Amino acid sequence: MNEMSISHLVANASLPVQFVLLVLLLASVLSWALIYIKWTYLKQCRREAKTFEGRFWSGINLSDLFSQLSTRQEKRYGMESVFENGFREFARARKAELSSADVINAAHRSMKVATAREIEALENNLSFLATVGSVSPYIGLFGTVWGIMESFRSLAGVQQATLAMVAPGISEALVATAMGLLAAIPAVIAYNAFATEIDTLVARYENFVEEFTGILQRQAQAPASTAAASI
Amino acid sequence: MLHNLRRHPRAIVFSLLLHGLVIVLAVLEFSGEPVKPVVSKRGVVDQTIKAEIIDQKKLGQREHNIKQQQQQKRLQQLAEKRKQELHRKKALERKKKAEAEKKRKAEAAAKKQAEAKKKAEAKRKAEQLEKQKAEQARKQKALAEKKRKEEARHKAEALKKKKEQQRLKAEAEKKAREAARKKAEKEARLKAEAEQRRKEAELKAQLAAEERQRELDSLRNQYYSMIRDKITRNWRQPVNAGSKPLCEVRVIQGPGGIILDVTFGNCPGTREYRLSVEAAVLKSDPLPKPKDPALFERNIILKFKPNE
Repeated sequence: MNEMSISHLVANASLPVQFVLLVLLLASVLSWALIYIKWTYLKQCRREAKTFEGRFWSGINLSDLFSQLSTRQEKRYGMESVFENGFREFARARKAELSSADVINAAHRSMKVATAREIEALENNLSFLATVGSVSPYIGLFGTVWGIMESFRSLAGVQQATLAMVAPGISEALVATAMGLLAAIPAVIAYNAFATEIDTLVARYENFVEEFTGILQRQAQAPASTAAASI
Repeated sequence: MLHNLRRHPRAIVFSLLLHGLVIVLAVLEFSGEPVKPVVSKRGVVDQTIKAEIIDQKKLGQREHNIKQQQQQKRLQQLAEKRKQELHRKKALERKKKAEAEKKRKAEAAAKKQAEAKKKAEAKRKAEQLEKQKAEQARKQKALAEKKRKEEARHKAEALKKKKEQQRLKAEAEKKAREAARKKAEKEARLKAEAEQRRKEAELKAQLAAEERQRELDSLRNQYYSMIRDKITRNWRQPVNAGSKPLCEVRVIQGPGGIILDVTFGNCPGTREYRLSVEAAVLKSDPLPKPKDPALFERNIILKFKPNE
């Protein structure tokens, strides 16, 4: 193997530097795994929101929609979950013969809670990406500083110092910084992209909540017999 | 987070694959030779070598030419040499003849010369002898002269030395006298200064004493007037005492101004008058204290004159 190859440098690095490299590698692997998970989940949510909105505004009977959703085996998430929670609360409140304002309030509150839960699910683990993005350059820098310190210390007893004596050590140390940046850059980019995406999704959910509340209000004004009528 | 990851093993696989790919790429990229600045020195070296070769070729030709020329020259020189040899032999023979002739002539001349030389020698010897004699006489004379001069010089030197010594002696004496004079002067001056100082000190002391005396006097006057004032304040003069003459009272006081005794000195006046004075003095017990304790007096003589 060549003297200055990457693998040679890593194998020759001092223990703390190797440890730093290992930590950074782990961080990088985890952050990429998270990026993959988040990416797929957000894509799924986006698609779900789109299809559900299509179904909701297609003129289907809300009770039918609800019964379809609640009988499905799969776990419900996203807009479906918000709708299900809101409608269930609405039906229960009406059954309890509350005043129409109270009924609307209960449904609205329930939907808000569901939205909050969805937001939590969306933002879950996102902070890990932020942490990796901001901290791993420092960890890499630590490894580099340590490596440079080592290489200068080996110079201490030498009468005539040449560049050739320090250069390998510094090159070795700089691998740590490179590794830190390599871990940090994708994490930061992904974090920013996901944050915007989540913001748009949340706005969409909240819009839906308001619209659905309006519909429920109209239904609450109507007599209970026609509650299950189509919109 | 771990829970989340466990639920998605595909994510881990994806991430690991990505990293493996990147690492492999990095290793492959870096395993090549590190880039070095390429400097082709070979071209330069070739040029110099070529140039050298050309030079050598030229040099060979030139050398050959030079060799030929040298050969020719050498042949010419050889011919010339032979010619010269012949000339030289001829000249040698001629020379030998001439030399024999010369020798003969020279011998004859030498004989003549030798005779002349002998004569000249004799003459020269006689001259020399004479010269030597003259020289000796001259030398003796010079020696005598020198001796004389030397003696004169010695004498002069001795004289000079004596004079010098005298001068030095005189100087030393002068110095000694000067030193003595100076010393005396200094002593006198010191004495005078000491005297002056003493006088000044005395004067000062006197002045201080006078000052003190004056101060004490003024204080005593003050003290007396204080006592007199106090007694006067306490004096109830009798209304019908008639004439009111000057009255001398002698007071004996103890420490702290306590009145021990009152006696009358010259005090012409009625009995009432005297009693009133005595009462006033006794009433003034204790008498005021002086500002300076040195002014305290046991016996005080006071003179009273009633105001009109």
